[in-house]
Amino acid sequence: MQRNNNLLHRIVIAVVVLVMVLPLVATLLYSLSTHWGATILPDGFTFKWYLDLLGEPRFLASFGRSLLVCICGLFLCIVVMLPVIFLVFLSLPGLKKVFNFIVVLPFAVPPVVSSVGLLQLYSDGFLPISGTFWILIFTYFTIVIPFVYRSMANSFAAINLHDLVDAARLLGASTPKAFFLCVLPNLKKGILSACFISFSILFGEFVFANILVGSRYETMQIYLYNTRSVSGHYTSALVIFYFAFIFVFTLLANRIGNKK
Amino acid sequence: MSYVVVQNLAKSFGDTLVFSNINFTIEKGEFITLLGPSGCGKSTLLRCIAGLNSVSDGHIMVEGQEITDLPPQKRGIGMVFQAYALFPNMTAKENIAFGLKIRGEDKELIEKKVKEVIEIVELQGREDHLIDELSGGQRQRVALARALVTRPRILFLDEPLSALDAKIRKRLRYLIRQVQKDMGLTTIFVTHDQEEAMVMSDRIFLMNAGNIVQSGTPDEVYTRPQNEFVAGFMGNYNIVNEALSRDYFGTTSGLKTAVRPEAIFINEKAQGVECTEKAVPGKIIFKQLLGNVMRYSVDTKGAEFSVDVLNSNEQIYNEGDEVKLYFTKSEINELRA
Repeated sequence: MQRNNNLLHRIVIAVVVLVMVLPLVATLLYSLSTHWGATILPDGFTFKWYLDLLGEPRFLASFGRSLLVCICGLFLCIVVMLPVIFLVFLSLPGLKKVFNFIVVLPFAVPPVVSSVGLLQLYSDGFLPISGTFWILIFTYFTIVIPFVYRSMANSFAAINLHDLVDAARLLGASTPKAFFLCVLPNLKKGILSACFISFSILFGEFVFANILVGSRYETMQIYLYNTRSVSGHYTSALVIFYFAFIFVFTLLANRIGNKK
Repeated sequence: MSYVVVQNLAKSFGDTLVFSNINFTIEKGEFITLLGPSGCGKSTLLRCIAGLNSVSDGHIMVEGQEITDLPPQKRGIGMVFQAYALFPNMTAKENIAFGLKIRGEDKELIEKKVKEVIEIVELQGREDHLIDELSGGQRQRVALARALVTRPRILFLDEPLSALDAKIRKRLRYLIRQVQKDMGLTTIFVTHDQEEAMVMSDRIFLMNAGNIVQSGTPDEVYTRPQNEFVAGFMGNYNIVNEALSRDYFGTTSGLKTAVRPEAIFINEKAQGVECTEKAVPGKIIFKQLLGNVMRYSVDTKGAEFSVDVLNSNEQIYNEGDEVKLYFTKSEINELRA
């Protein structure tokens, strides 16, 4: 009976893995194939599509733009949120409930709806940045707030914040010094994991980028969309490249998360 | 003028009054203990004196200087926390040196001072370890060293031993007291453990519900409790009501009395001790071996008395034995209402 159960479990897991991996393997094969038509396996293999991809200045530029906009949005979010969370945990614990509500909002409003609102907000008035690189940065800032907040809040909860700050102050440090010397180094893991998770999410973001800036600031996801009709092999190579890039990031995040 | 003066200190959080009208003085080099049950306001009082909490009213003075409104970093206070509050990103040595580095002291001088204090708290060989790699006792030694190295005007110890096991606690008790005496440090110790307070302190301030209910030397507070709370908190006192006090001890004040278990004798009076005239008859209903002491519960039909007798072969009674109790006259404490 036990043996039958084990076999059943293995079959279920194998099916699930197969369903998840098969499209990826097929995409990988397609990106490496010279031609893949009416046969089970490709006619031949080549690195041509990857070489084309990495030799295409428009792709490299879009990759660079994606990196830039993700890093800037994330950096802005961390720089703004870190002192805010510190103050909430140190002096205003009553605001934790408010933050727990605020961080759910980006999930509650669909991207298509919120992008219309953002377009209206930034089209005119005091900050006319619609269609520019800046609107993406401010939008990405809001998208990653939940991930940054949750990850950092867990880190703050894991350290004895009040006692650490009190001890540092009694030893002569001002509150900012106590934060930078005694608190911040102990949040390293939380900050890094927040960065990796948020970066992975932002790097794959398409809806906001497409609606808010489109081809005026072509990110990698928009480039992928714009070149979808050029060649299936080429776009497959792009997808695999993107996947490999994010996979390395996820691995790094796991390593850091598990590191003692 | 005393070294530390606390005048009419009060603290409330919103509508909740934590303590009020706190007055006491501490002399230079004295070791005093704020003793009391959880929630009595002793830690908040300590934090207020340290500047970690603001005060609602009153004054704090150290060496004649008003420090009530000074930030903590300017009060010259060293503090050891219950949960250590060591910086996990630093080694033991870096933790200890932190206060000196913040002050911008010379590197060689820091090295010398840190080495000295590591020897005082007996941490040699562990100084380069991260905090995670140290045991609870070692961590508390690091915390003590970190507080001592800056030569504070007052050392605050906020229940520093309560997270440690009994054996280490006893060793650290001795170490702290020794270091405090050697350095002549004025120290305020917070604890809920009366034994710890008695062993370590020059004077005890016993707190209850935001008030200092009695203060004095450990001997005074233990042997002369002024009210029922002190008698109950400081020892295993027998509290006797007004009518029985009159009947058993012949008191005339109409107040309750408290008698320590070791001030009661079974069947025969101790030599050289003046006891009350009346022998109170009773029956042993329970006995309990506490190591070197045998504790008997004696029912006198009016009250139940705990009686502690040195555990020897000569004086062993059994449950159900009919006995007579004699009370040491000088140890009958009349309690204020």
